[in-house]
Amino acid sequence: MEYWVITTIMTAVYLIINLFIGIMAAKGQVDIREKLVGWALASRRLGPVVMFFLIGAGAISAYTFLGAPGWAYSLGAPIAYVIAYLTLGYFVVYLMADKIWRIGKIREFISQAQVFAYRFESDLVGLLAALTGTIGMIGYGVVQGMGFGYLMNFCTGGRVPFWAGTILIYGVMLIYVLIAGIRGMGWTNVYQGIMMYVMAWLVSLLTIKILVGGGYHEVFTKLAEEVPESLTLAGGGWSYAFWTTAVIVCAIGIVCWPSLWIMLFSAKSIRVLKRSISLIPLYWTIIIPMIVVGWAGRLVMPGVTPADTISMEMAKASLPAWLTGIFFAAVLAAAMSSSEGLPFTAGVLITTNMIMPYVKLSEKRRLQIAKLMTVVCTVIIITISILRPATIVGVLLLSYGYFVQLFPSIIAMFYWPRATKYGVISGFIAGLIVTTLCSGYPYTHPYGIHAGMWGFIANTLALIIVSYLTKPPRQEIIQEFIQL
Amino acid sequence: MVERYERKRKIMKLGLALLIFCFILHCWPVIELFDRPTPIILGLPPILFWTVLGIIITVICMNILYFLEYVRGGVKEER
Repeated sequence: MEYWVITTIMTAVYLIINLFIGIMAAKGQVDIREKLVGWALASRRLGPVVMFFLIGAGAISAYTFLGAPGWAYSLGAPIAYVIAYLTLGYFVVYLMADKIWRIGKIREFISQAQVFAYRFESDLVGLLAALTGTIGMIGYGVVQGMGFGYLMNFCTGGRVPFWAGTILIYGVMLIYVLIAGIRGMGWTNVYQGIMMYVMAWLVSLLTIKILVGGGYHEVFTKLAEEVPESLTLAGGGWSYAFWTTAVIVCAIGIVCWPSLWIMLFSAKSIRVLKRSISLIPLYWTIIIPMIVVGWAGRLVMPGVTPADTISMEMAKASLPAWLTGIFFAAVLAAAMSSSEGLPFTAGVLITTNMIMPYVKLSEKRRLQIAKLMTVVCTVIIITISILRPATIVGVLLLSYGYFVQLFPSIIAMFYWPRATKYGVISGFIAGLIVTTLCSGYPYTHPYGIHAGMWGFIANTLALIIVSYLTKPPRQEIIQEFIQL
Repeated sequence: MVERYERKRKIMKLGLALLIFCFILHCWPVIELFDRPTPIILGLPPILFWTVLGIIITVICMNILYFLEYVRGGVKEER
């Protein structure tokens, strides 16, 4: 049988099993069909195992399998910052999980933007938070969508065109997300998460054994002799200031993601939630085998372009077709586990903060609108990923780096009684402007410090100053937040 | 109720201290010590070994907090 036929069959089998698991997750769950909270939050009843994979596998995208090895291949050591910021980021989430989960439970909130609107007594603040979230989700969705096209194209040896791949993968995800909501994402993430973890290690160890002739020790001993600069930060063009600020900015950015808040709200109890989060960083060890493949590529396969395909090229050069096929499926699993929640989160945000405050709706109607909006956002993501209008893509790429600018307001919301809605709004706007100015329009990471850090400083200053200049908020709500 | 609140505050303070400790481990100047091609430790170059060790240290820190709050503190399951 031809090579591409085998890899295509493996990919198809993976997709069918995935769809089946996603749909089965809704079985016997009446609330999923009746209530928004049933569909979007699994009625706040998810247990520790599903939570572990929902969050853990949900944070691992195709980047781990393609982009990260590509970085290790072309730049070397700086890629280790991904492991550092993910680990630290979830420690921040662990410490804040208590308050986030409790306010959601007590006030029956479904989205992050609802918490903003409630604390700052302003539907406008909620609307802004929802808008930022929606644009960011669509932006990240487009980045992933462009990847799907390439991925399906690669898996099938160029037989499936770019547009068809993007539509197929988003289509499959849309089916099980519409039917089973977050419960469907949770159970598919268990399947995807286990599969991609096993495949990452297996493919890495086998590929290196066959192509380099040894283990990780041999790879790095050779690299240290032949290209020692690939093992230092300076060799990849990173200064210590950039490493440190990049790690901090990316780590604190994690707790800001609206898609993460929906996951946190879905946990059965705060204890279950903390049990899962306290172990989740162990899952980041999935990044190690893949970046080592990239490093090994430097020894045995120089000159691969684009660098992001190095892991797939290494697998293709050393493994039998059926195993490579499963590896491609694992890459797809990583891409899907992190993007299924994007149009879903956008749909929920639009419903809870752009429609619900202004129109009175029955519970059933809310659910229908949220599903409709999820479909609409999926269509928008697919369209932009396929047509790729340069300016829109440029804006979207910037936008999903903006989430970190929510961090000062999130901290202020829970811990600083004096924060006012005007303070939060001006902080956020100052943050966006400064981040944009420092992201190449016209400056690029001034003084070697990450753009997000400059935005973060401006944001915090504006928040504090404007809050003190405006009228303090009402005491009851503040007390509720401080005592959570 | 008050007692539970006080206890939570103490754990939160410890949590913050551990968080800052973990951040320091990953930032400059600590990271500079590991920014070199050799020695290869457990099959990994120094910087990768250090970040992986960072995962283990962070998980231990979070589990200390979890233990204090739920196992020794005996906080009941809240629903």
